[in-house]
Amino acid sequence: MDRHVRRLSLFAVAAALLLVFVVAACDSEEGETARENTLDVIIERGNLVCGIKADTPGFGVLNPTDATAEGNDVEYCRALAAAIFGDASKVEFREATSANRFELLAAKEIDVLIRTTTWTASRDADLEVAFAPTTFYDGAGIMVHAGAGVSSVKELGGSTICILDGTSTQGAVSDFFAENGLSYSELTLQDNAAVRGAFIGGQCDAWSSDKSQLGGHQFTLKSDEGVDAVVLPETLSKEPLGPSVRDYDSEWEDVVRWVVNGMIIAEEQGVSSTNVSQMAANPPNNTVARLLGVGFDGGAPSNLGIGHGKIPGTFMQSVISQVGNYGEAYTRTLEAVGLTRAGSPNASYLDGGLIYAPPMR
Amino acid sequence: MKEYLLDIWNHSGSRARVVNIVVGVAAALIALYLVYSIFSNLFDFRFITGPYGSPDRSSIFSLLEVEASDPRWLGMLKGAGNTISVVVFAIALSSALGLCVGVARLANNPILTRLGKVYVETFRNLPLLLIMFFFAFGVFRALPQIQSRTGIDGLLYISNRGLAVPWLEPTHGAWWIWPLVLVASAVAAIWVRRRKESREEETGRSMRGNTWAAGIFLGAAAVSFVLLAFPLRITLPDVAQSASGFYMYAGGNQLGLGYISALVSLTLYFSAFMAEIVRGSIQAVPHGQVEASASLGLNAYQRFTLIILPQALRIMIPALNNEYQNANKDSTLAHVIAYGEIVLISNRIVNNAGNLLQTYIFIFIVFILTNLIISMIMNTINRNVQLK
Repeated sequence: MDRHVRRLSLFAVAAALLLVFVVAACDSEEGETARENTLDVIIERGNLVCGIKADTPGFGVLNPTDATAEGNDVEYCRALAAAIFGDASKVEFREATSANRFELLAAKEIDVLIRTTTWTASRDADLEVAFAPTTFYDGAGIMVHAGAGVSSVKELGGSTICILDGTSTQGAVSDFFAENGLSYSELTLQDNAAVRGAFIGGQCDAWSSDKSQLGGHQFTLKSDEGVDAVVLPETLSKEPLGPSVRDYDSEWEDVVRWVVNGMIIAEEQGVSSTNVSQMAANPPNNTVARLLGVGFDGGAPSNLGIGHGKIPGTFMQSVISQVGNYGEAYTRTLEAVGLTRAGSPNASYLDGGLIYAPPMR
Repeated sequence: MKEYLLDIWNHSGSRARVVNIVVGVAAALIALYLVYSIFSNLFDFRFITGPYGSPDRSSIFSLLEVEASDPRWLGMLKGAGNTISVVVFAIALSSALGLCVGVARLANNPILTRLGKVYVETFRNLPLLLIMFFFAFGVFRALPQIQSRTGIDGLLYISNRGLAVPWLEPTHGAWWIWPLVLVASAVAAIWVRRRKESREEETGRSMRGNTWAAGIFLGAAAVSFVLLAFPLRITLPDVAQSASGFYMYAGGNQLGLGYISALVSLTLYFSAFMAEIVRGSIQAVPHGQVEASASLGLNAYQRFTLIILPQALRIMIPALNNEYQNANKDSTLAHVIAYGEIVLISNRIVNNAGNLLQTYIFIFIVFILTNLIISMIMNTINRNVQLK
């Protein structure tokens, strides 16, 4: 009996191991062949999961108690939900930090990342993400005390500059000063509160960060501490911010891309949340008709094929009526925190800015 | 069939074998996975040749300043150098301070004893991180601004940007020969002193070993300094103003707030532990030794330096070794106050390049090596002070 048992036990273990290997092999094969189409997954799930910033007024603020959010990035999440489901509220917001944002995206925890993320070559290539059109053109800038009597970054030779440690701003400042043959000392600190304290206390003469952030800091310095500061005109680096999705997911990528483009075109054509239903009923020109997915002058609506019929051809009507065009989203969120659009790179190309969309036809 | 399966489970020998094989296979699979990930991921070290990206001048030695164009591996080495340059001074200062406080706690003066006790109980019971925050964001930020020129004019300035002190600067490119000569002459001086001492023990005649050693060292230092055409000179700090009116330190050396905060915090925190080690070691010397030396007619100073301290050192050194290694390891906390030590530099590289595993393995190696060196030095000292 003993020998019998021994032989049987070996057999049982071998069989169990074989089973494990077979299951593992099947599993990995499945993972490689079937590349998920995120658009199908979202429609199946019934809502969109959007990764946003949780603590930056103007761009993304997440309210942890009721999971509501606001900010310019959030407007684009809601616009996507409106495009897919015809209902801007069918979106779940999830906080993405600067450390975990790309992991969340790669692990399919979020469908789209809209979190002040700079479009760079290494991210596009190495991290296998695809970037949709830029929704905000940012860049590193420098702020000084109003009393310093400085009007250009080129007058900052010999100054001490406070920078948040580990940010791309350090490199931008270093490059700019080297190119202009200026010397400076760098004081790096680990969080914004420490930088703010150092700037107020005169530990540094200047404060460098992305201009969109500096605007907010300038505002709170004045309101909380009564300190007058000015942001110098030069922009030291390019920081185009926009939504990103996983690579090799082009159907979904197209939807994200054309919802953003559609909002830009809507503004160019004067289509807004207040007049979208009149425009849809009676489009003034063919461009507006194609944008809203309706026929022009009694003709049939043209099929642009975005989402391959999985989302309605009239998706931009829902987007514009529930969220608005590019300018409406910007005014509601970014103008409210003092980021003036007029004269900035974020003005429409018609007004000398960089906001421009390819034609929808 | 069901009976057999039950048999396998109920029979202790076969059950153990099943468990052994399952655990063994699981362990082998985990090991395989680790080896696989090591080869696929860990050995990709190409990122270390990329540019570091931004300058870091928080070092006290200009040699250790990181330039934006430096390769990342050089940045990491310089970060290790920054760690060492704060740890070495922290260990030296905290040992000196610890000795003073430890002795004060045993003094006959009740005020000194109590002050010593308050000092030890304060710094030993606070988290080191908190002490660092306190100095970096509390004390030093409250210092006057640079344009007030606070300090000893022409010699030393202190402001909320740091401490400007006199420093040495090389006058020509071959200055580094001089420190080498210093090391060589120190070795020679120690060798001569040892020979003189052993002669003294053999013959009983005074051979003046210390005088000879000092003469050799200082003589060689002075002669080579002249022969090398004065390789170093002193530079004095000054508060200067740039063309657009910004104030900065010029000349001398500027010890940044990160460095000073880290140094002061490490010194205060570890001196409290070292004071207790000193006190305990002195108390462990049998009281009869004091009485015996008193009856020999030695005065208090001689009793302490000739009788008590040498015996206390034997007890002290193994315990101090521990504290020195802790000081080395805890210096990593200084990255939260943005001192450019190895963890901070590595985190910056991880932010840009994303190779966390490889970068952290480098940190592990640095700390294992430096701690082994500390151990080696302390063990050598320990061997020299033990009874032979």
